[in-house]
Amino acid sequence: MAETGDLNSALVLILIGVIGMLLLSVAVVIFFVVYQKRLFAQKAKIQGLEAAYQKDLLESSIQA
Amino acid sequence: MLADLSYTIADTSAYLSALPLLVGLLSRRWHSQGQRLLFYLVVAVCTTELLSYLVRKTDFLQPIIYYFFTIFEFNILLLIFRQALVPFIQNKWFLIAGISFTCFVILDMLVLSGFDQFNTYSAAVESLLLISMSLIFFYKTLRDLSIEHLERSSIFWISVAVILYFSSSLFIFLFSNQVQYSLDALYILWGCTESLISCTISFTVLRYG
Repeated sequence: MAETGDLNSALVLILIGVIGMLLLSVAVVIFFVVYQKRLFAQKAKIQGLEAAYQKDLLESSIQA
Repeated sequence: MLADLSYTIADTSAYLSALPLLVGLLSRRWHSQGQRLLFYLVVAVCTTELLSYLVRKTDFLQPIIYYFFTIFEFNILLLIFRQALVPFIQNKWFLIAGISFTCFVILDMLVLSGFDQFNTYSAAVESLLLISMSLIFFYKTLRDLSIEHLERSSIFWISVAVILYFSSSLFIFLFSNQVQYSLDALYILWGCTESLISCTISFTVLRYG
């Protein structure tokens, strides 16, 4: 009886540990995805600013 | 059955700690100071495993070896994080953390736990500090967006390894005092995590070393 109780508590501990490790792994993957999204958004923003600057430059040179 | 499994996994994880050492010795092409420091840590891990195996029959030598290993491990990882976090965190804070933690381990060895006991207090504090360091690195990286290819960054993989290993280590130290009869289960968890960390460090050294 006591042995079954020990085994159950051991299994609960293993389960908690495994769930914890899985959650941490998922958190790392989520971090990676969020990072990539932010990086692409920043790159798109910089490209947009560069394009607008080039357009302004072209317009001002045409007007001149 | 559980005891046999825990011994098998603990032995496997101890042997697997030689894997990053082997990989590091075979491909000694260091791109950064951080990878060199990581290799020193791997050498320290293998030396500690070997020494603790050699002195396993003595009562007091094995805990002392782990006290010194904890000091070395913390300071090496602190130096690795310092390279990634300065100037986000000022250099003086790393110096303060290193000196304070070394003093705390000595206090733990002399007063709190004693020479003949394992370093549960200092290991728990080390885990908390290094998890914090790793989280600060993730926050800084997400804020600055300074790394072009995150999957190719060695410090990113070191941070992942640190957060996985030390969170499981903290879990084990918290529960080892509470649940004495489930130590086998804790050893299984620790063995699995240590094997995972050995493989992650091997990958980091092999791919970017």
